[in-house]
Amino acid sequence: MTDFAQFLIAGLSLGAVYALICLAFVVVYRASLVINFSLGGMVVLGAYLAYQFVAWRVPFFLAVLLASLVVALVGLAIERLVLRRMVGQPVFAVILITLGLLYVLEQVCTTFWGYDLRMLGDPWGLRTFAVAGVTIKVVDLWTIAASAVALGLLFFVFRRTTIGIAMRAAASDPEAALAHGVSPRTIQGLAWALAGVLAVIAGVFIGSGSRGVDLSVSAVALRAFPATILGGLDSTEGAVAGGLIVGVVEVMSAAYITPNAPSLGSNIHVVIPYLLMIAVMLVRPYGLFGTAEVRRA
Amino acid sequence: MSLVTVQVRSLVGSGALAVALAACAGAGGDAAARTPGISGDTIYIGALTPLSDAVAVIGKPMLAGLTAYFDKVNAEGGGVAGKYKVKILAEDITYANPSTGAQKYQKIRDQVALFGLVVGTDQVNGLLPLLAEDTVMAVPTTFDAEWVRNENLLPWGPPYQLQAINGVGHALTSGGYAGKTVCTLTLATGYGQATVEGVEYLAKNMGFTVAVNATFKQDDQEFVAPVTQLKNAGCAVVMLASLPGVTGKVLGTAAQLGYAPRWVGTTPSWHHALAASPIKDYLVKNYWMSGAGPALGDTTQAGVRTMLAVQAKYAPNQQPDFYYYAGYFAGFTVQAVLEQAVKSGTLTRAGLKAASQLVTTVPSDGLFGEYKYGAVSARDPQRSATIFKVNPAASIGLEVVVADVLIPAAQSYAFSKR
Repeated sequence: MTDFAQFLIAGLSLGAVYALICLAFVVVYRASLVINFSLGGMVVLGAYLAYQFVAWRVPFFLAVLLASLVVALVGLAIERLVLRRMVGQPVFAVILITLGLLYVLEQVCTTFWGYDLRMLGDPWGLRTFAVAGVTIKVVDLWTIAASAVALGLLFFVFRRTTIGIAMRAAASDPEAALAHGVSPRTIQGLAWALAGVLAVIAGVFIGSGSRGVDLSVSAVALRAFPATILGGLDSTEGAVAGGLIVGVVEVMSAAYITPNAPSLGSNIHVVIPYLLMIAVMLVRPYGLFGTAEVRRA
Repeated sequence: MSLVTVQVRSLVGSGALAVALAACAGAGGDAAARTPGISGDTIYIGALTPLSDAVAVIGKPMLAGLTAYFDKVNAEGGGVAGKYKVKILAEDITYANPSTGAQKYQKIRDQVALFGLVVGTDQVNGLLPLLAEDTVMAVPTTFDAEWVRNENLLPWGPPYQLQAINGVGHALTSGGYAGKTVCTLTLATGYGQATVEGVEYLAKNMGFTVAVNATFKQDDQEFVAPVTQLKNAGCAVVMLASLPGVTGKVLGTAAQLGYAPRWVGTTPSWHHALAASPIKDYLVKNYWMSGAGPALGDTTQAGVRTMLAVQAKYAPNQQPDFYYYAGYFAGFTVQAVLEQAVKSGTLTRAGLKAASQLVTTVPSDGLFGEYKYGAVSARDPQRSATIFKVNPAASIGLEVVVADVLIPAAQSYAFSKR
């Protein structure tokens, strides 16, 4: 039981990071119907920037804030300078552009910071405490709490603020929103900036403690992708649910299936989230919380 | 005036074509001129190494080491055999995608005489049928024991199996862990499998059972599950086959869970940044690396002094870490084969293959132990190991615990093709 609780906390922590990334996928998708494959690049760029600000002796939390600001501006610039020129072009072409941007962002990172492992210098380090025999990593608590706060703020913005309602309106019916003075371009720019902020928070937690920051941080976005589809590509609630489900399933699979079913292969914990995604999509093609597409005959 | 003729080039565009055309043109009509990758007095050798993914932390310094080595040979020795300048044609591969090795091999195979650097056990495995079909030699900078008996490979360094045998064996026989439970935690790749093979062989030889063989994937972010598995099994000695970016995640999790076995890492598991990480104190107490040769900072060794001087002169921007060291050392092996082929008067692909079996020993400036070459069936790598421990004040964070560790199982380990 102690082990189960240990795995559950680890899974929720990982899931909280996935949820942040899923949410970043969702906000861009809702605003522009684009799956943003450059997100991994934004995650790793954010982690490196936080490292750099800390290296310049900026206090850690201020460093994260500054990194968030920079990556938000990068997101905004991508939308303004690249994607806006693709308006009216096939979505497939736009998605491929985001894939190209992933490699661009990764190379920007290696140009400035090289390939060596960089220690983030976060305040959590290796600190832990025990509750009923379960070791709880302080960084895990911070990950879950920070993700919860970020997600809560996002829900608040979406539901209670003018800009959030405008974003929802633009996602729901762009033409009607435009008729009411909501600019889809502004909304899309904001969505990319917001995705940048979420990516930075995820990147900081992935690179914290003894993990360090290197290019492999970028890969977390791909690992979170099945969670995004599982929850529903256009659903903020789905992003949270998908992220947490996949995080817990991944850790539980590694804990209970990999050691006990070696014939399934040593990477089964990576495969199972995809199997889960496929199973859900067979029943609900738009994901657990996604919006079913209505087609007129 | 510095004569630097080694050029690392991306084979995009006309440069590569020019090499190929020059080789085809057959200037002078001799055998060398008809050999791919040999143009006049220039020999082109290929390098397939990660240069842009996360494993570039290994791949780039390896390439820098090899490049610096031949910069020195070209500038100070007039080239191979005092005549042939060596140029390196490097291609970027993706470590996690072994098919990229085969793709890039096919891209440049007609423009190089041999491959002086191939990184990644799975990448090398993917190349084996191609190398055999094309009669091309390659020097793997990865240490699977399977390479020893392959006639298209010219391996060097201590095989992972022997690193594991000597590292774990030392812990059990002299390190205070006699009779303790042994386990492995390895990357789920051919490299990890090679390491597990070593520990399993040691177990059979010494009469114990490996309690847990846990694995992980390169881009895993959470390690509570495998570390708990090891902890619950009472593993007191754990052989780790990891990569630099992952080691901190694994051992950080272990430290946080209060789990402190004797970790024994392979050479690629280490990165000097770990010696300055939040887990440095944990590493000082619990981590050994099973490798070979002297400590990189041991300037009492002439070979180390030379290597560092070459780095300072020809690769001043490259930190002389273990991976630079590996690439530099691969240069000794490449040069030995090329010089033998020149000496035999058969600077062709078949000639290079034949030359690889005529080379008996490779001078290494004392950086590694002797690797006996000769006929493939008689090859015998260095079987002993150096055990390093973590010292944050030492060069690359490692200092020697004990050198020339030779466990009987390492002495009896037989090399064969799988």
